Amino acid sequence: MLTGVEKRCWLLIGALLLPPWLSSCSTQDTPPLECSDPLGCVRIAPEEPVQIGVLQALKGQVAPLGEAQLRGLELALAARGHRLLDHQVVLQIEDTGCTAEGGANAALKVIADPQTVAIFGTTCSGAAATAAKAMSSANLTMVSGNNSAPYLTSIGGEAAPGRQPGYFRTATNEENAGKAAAGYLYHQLGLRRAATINDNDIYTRGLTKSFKKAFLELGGELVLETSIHKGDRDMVPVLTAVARSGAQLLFFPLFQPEGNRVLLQARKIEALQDIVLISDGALIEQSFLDDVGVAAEGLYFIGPRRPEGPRVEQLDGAYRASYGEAPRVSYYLSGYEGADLLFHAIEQCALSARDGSLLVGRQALRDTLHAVRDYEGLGGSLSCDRFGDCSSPAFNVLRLDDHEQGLAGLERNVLYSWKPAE
Amino acid sequence: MSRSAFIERIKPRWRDLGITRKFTLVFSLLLLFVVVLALTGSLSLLYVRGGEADIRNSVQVEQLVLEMDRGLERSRRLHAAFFLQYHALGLQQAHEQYAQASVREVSRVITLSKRLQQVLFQGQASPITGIRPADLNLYLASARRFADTSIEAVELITARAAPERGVESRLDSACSALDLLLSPYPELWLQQNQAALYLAEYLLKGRRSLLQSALNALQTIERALAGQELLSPSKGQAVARIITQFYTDADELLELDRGIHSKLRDFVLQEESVSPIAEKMVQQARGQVSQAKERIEQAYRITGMIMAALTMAAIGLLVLLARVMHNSITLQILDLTAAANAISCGRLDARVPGRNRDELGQLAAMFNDMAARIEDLVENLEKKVEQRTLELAVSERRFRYLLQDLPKIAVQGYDRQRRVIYWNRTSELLYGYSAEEAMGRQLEELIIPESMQAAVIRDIDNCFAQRSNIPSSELTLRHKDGSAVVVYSSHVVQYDGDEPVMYCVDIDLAELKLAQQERLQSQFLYRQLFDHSSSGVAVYEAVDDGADFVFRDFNRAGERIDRITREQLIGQRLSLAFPGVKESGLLEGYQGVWQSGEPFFLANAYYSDDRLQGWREVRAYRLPSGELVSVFDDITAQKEVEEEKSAVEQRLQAAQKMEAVGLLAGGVAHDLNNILSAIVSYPELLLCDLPPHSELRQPLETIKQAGERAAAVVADLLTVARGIASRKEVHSLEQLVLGYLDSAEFHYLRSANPEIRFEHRLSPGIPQISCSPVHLSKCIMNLMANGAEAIAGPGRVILSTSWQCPLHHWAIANGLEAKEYLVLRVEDSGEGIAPRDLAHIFEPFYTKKVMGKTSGTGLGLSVVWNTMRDHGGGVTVVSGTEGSCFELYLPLAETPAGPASDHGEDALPAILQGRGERILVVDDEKQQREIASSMLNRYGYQVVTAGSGEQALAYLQAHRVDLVLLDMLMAPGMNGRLTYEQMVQLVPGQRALVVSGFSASSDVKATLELGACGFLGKPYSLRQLGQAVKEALA
Repeated sequence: MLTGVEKRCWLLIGALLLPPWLSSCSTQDTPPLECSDPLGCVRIAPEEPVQIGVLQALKGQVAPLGEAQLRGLELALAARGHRLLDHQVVLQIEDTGCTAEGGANAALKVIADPQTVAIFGTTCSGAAATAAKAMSSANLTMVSGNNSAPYLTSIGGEAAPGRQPGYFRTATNEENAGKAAAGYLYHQLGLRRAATINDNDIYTRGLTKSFKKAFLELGGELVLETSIHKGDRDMVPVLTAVARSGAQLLFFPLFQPEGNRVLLQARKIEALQDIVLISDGALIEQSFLDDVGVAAEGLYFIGPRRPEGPRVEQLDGAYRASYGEAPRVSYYLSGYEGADLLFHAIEQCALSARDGSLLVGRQALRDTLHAVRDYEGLGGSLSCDRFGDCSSPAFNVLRLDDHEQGLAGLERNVLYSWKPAE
Repeated sequence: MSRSAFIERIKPRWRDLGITRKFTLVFSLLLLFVVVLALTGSLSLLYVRGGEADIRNSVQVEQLVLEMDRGLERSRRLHAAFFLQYHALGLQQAHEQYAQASVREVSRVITLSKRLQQVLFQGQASPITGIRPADLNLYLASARRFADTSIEAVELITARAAPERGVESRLDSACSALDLLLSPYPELWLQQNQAALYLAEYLLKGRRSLLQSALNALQTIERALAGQELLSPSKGQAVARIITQFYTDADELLELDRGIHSKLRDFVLQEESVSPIAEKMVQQARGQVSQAKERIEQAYRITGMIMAALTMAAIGLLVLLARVMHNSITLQILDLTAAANAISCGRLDARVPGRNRDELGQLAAMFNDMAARIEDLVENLEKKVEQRTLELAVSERRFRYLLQDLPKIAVQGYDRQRRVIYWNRTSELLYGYSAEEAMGRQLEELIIPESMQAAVIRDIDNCFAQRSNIPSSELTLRHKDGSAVVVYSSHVVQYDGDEPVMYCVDIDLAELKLAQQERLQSQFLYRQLFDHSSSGVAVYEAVDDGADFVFRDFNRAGERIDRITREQLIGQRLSLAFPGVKESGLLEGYQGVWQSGEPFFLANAYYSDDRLQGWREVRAYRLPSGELVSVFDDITAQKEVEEEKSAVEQRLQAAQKMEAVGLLAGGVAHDLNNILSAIVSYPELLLCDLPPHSELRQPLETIKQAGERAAAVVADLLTVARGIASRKEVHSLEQLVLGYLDSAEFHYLRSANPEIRFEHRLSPGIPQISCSPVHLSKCIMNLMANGAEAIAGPGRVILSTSWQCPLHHWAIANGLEAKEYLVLRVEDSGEGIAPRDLAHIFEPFYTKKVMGKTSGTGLGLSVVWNTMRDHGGGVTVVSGTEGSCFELYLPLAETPAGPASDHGEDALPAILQGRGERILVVDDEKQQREIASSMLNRYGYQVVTAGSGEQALAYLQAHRVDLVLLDMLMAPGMNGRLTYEQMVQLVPGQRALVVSGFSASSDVKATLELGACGFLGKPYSLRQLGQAVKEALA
C-alpha cells in the first residue's frame, strides 16, 4: 500500500510528465490512408460526397436516350439509398449533344475536377469516342449503358481503334447486329439486293459496315452504300438513289431526327413502297414512334434483346413510381446495369478509413471492373472482358405492325433472335 | 535574523521531527528541483516544436505556391498552343494534344490548391500573415477559375471551328453553294467571290470590317436578284435562303469571336491578379521560416542557462541535505550498533547517548531500558531457577497422585523391551495384578491374549523404532484370572530421557458395553412392538415450525391400513403423502399435539383423497425427543355396519309406525265398508229396477258415486293398513303405464294442467312383473297427480321405465334386495320437497296439499309405499330445487304371464248370469246379507243366508251349496277363517269366496290357503260381485 506522501509524489510526477507526453501525442492523429495506386487516387473526406461525372445527350431529339440513361443511373442510386459507402453522391451532369466535339468538351469539364471518381456515359458512341480518350488520359474510368459501337471496345476479338483504357459498357457491342440483320433479311425474307445509309458517325458506320460484310458473305449484293450528314433535312436525293439502285431492302441505322426524315420521306416515294426498310436500336424509342406515326408500320428494327425477368418487372415498377410514366425507351435497363456495375466496383475497390474518409484508386477501379465475373444483371450475369464489354451480345429483329401499340407493341413483336451460340 | 540564530531556532524542531517527516522534507526538496527542471525542459520543448511546425508549414506553403504557379503556367501555355494550333492540326487533334493536356494540368493544380487550403486553414501552424483573406481565396480559386474559363474558351472555339457543324464550316459551305449557284452569272459570281475572299481574310485577321465587307457583297447580290429575274425561282429562293443563313452564321461568328476575345482578356486579368498574391505568399512564407528559426535559437539559449543554474543549485542542496541526514540518522544508528556490540561482549552496563527525540532517539531509550532489565535479570536468575525447580517437583508429585488414582483409567508405562515400569492403581483393579507383581514383567505375559501378542509386539517395536503412533482403538485384553477386559486403549511415547518410555492409557469399557447391550435390547423390543402392532403407527418429525410433518417411521399395520409402503413414506411430507389430512382434521390435531404436548384422540376421522377413503380412529402423542407418534386403526367396516344398522332401525320404526296407523285405519275401514255397502249397493239395485227416464235415477246415481268415492278412500285406508290382500298376477308394466295414459284420470289431469307437458319414455323389451294391477295403477296415478301439483306454472312430468340391478350397498340402504327390478320413474320439474318434509311424505295423512283439492287425503304416497311393500319392492325419492324424482322398484315375475282373463271390464252382466247355483251368504250383518241376496238373485242364483259361522255350519250339515259367500269378521262367534276351517272338514272342497270390509291379512291369507277361491272387498258393486262369484264357480 502506498502512503499518502508517496501517492502525492507520484501524482506530482504524473502531472509533470503529462504536458510533454500530450504535446508529443497531439500530432499523432489517425494516419491518413496511403495511396499506392499507379494512376493516383481520389481522397474523399468524411463529410465529402462521392462525385460522379455524367456525360449524356440531354438536348435535341436524342435527348430521350440520354434521359433514359440518367434515369437508369438514378434508379440504381435509389436502390442504394442514394448513398455510396455511406457518402452522399453528387452527379456532375454534362450534355454531350451526341457529337464527338460535344463529348470531348463535356469530358473536359468533368476531368477538370480532381475529385471526380468516375464517369457514367455517354449516350452516343460518337461522343464516347472523344470523351473516352479525354477521360482515359486523365486516368479516369467511364461506364456506358448505351454505347454500342464496336469501335469503342473490340472488333473481331481484337482491340478496336477507339478502345481506351478505363472504358467499359453494359450496352451490347453491336458488332454482330449487322450480321443478325443480314441473316434475317437474307434467309427469312429471301432478299438479295441491299442498300445502306449511315451518317458517318462511328456507330452508324460500324453497323452498315458489319451488315455489308455479312450480307456479302451470305451471297447477297450491296447495290448502294451511301451516307448523309447529321443535320441533313432533305433526304429525297439519297432516297432517289436507293430507288434507282434496284435494292430490295434499305438498312439505315441512324439517330433522330435524320432517321425520322429518311422514313417519312421514303414513305412518300412511290418507287420505295415495296422496299423493306430496316433501322437500328437508336430508333427503338417512343419519341420516334410518336413522331413518325403510322409511317413506322412495317418498318423493321435490329436492336439488342431487351432483358426480361422479375427484376426487370420490379425495376419497371420503380421507374413508373419515380417518374409517373411508362419507360419511353428500354435502354434505361442497360443504363441501370451500367450504373449499378460502376457503383459495385467503387464499393469493392474503395478503402475506408476509421474516420469515414475514402480512398479510391484510379487503376484499382479499372482493375475491379475488368475482374467482374458473373455479376447479377437484370437479364443475366455481367462479366467484363479485357476490352471493356460487360454484357453478352443478343439481338432481336422487330417489326412495328400497329403504331397505336407504341413501344410496348414493337418490343413484343419479335420476329427473329440472334445470339453468338446460335 | 542572522544565519546562526536561524539554525539554532530550527535545530530543536528538527530534532523533534520523526524520521519519516525528515525523509519527506529532504526528498520533497529534491523533487521540487526535479519538477522545476522538468517544467523548464517541457516548456522549451513545446516552444521549439511550435517553431518547427511553423517552419514546416511555411516551407510547405512556399512549395505549394511555387508548384501551383508552375502548373498554371504550363496549363496556360498548353491552352495558348490550342488556340494557335487548332487551325493547323485540326480541332480534334488540337483538343487532344493541348486542350485536354491543359485541363489535366489545371486539374492537378486544383488538387494542389486544395492541399494548400488544408495547410493554411486546417493545419496547426499559424496561417500566412500579411495577406488579406479575400486575396488568399482568390488565389486558391484561381486554378478552378482558369479551368472554367479555358473550357468555355475551348467550347467557343469548337462552336467556331468544328468540322461540319462549326460556324466556319457552315459559312464555307454557304460560299461553296453560292459559288455553284452563281457561277453562270459573272457579276453575281464576282460579288460572291468577293464575299468569300473577305470572309477568308476575316478568319485570318479577325477584323470585323472584313466580315462586314463580305456581308455587303452578299447584300449586293441580294439587291441584284431582287430587281431582275436572272435566276429561276427555285434557284433564287435557294440563293436567298443561303444568304440569310450566311447572315445568321456571320452574326454567330462575330459573337463567338467576341466571346473568345473576352476569355483571352480574362486569362490576362487572372494572371495579373494572381501573380502578386503568389509572390507575396512566397515572401511571407520565407519570412516566417526565418522568424521561427530565430525563436528556436532563443529558446535553446534561455533553456540552457536555466538548466545550468538549476543544476548548480541542486548539487549544493544535495551536499547540505546529506550532512543533515548524516547527523540526524546515521550517527544515531552507529551509536546503537556500538552499544549492542558492548552488551554482546558482556558489558551489560553499556548505554546509548540520547541525541534526538525521533524514532531513533526513542529506540535508543528503549535499548537503554532493555539493557538495564537484562542486567537486573541476570543478577536474579539463579534464585528464580531454584524456586521454579521446587514448584515443578510439587507439580510432578500432584500429577503422579492424580494419575495413580484415576478412576476407570488404567495407566501403564513400558520401556523399549515392553517391561512394566509404571502400573497405576486402576491397572491393578482392572487387570488383577498388583504393582509389585507387574513391575519388571513384559506386557504380553500380563494382559495381552495370545492371539494378539505377535501384533502387539510388532506395533510396539515399530513405535519405538520408527517413532510411529499406535492408533487408539477398542481392545479386549486379559485379566489375571483369564477373563476378558474390554478397554479403549491409547498410547503415548515420551522421549525426554535417554530411554524412551511408552505409556498406555486404557479406559474401562465394561459399564459402557453393558449399557449399549441394554439399549440394543430395548431398541429390539421397541421394534418388535412397533412392527407387530395391530394398529398403524407412524412417527413424524415436525417441519416448518410444526405446520407439517415428515415421516420418520411407519409400521406394517400402517402399510396395510393405508395401502402404502414404508419406503414410499419415509422422508415424505404428511400433507403430500396424504393430501386429505387437512380436511379430515388430523393435521390440525397433530399440530396441536406438537405445540401443546397434550395427547390427541379422534374416534371418528373420515379420511378421503383420490387414492384412499375410510374411517380412522387416531391417537397421537409427542415423544420427549420432539417426534410425534400417531396410532391409528381402520374402523371403516365398523362404521359401515353401524350405518347399516341405523338405517334398518329407522326403517323398522317407520314400518311399526305404519303398522300401527294401519291397524287403526283397518278397524275404521271395516266398519265403514259395511256401512258403505248399503250406500253403494242399494242404489245400484234400485237403478236396475227404475225405468230409464225416471226422475229418481239422477239422485240415486249421485248417492252411488258418493258411496264409491267413500269406498275409494276406505280402500286407500285399507291399503295403507296393508290389509289389501291383493291378488298378484303376472302383468306387463308397459301395458299398465299405457293403460293409465289412456285412462280418464290421466286425460282429466292433462286438461286440468295445460301448461305442463307430460312425457313418457318406456324402455322396450323389459320383462313382466307380478303385481296387483289395480294398486299399481293407483300408484302411477297418485305419483303423476303429485308431480303435476308440485309444478306452479309451466313444467313437465316424465313417466319412464327401466330395468336395473342396484348395487348391493345401495339396495340394502334403501330396504331392497340386491336383485333385478323393473323401475317405474316419475320425475317432475316442480319446486321440490323441503328436506324437513321428505322424511314424512310416506306417512298416512301427512300432506302439504290443500284439503279437498284432487285427493288431498294424505294417503296417496302412503298407498304407494304400502303397495310397494306389499309387492316386495320399494320406493325411493330424490328431491331438490329442480324437482323431484320418485322411483318404484318392482321385482320381476318368477313365472311367465298366464292367459288373459276372459272377463274384461266391459264384460256384460249377461255373461255373469248364473245358472241357478246355490249360494250360501254368511254375514253377521243383516243388511249385508240382504244386499248380497238381492244382487245374487239378480244374477239368477239361489241364495240362502246365515247370520253366523255356526249357523252356516249347521246348514251345511244338511245341505249342499255350490258356493259360500263368507264374511271374514263376524262377532260374536266364529270368524270367517274358523268357520271355513270347520266347513272344509265338514264338506271337503267346499268352495268359498271370502268377503271383508277389512281383511286382517293373516286370517284372509290363512283362509285362502285353506282353499277359499278368492277375496272380495266390501263394499262391492253388482258387477264386482257377479264377476267374483262367476270366477269362484268356474
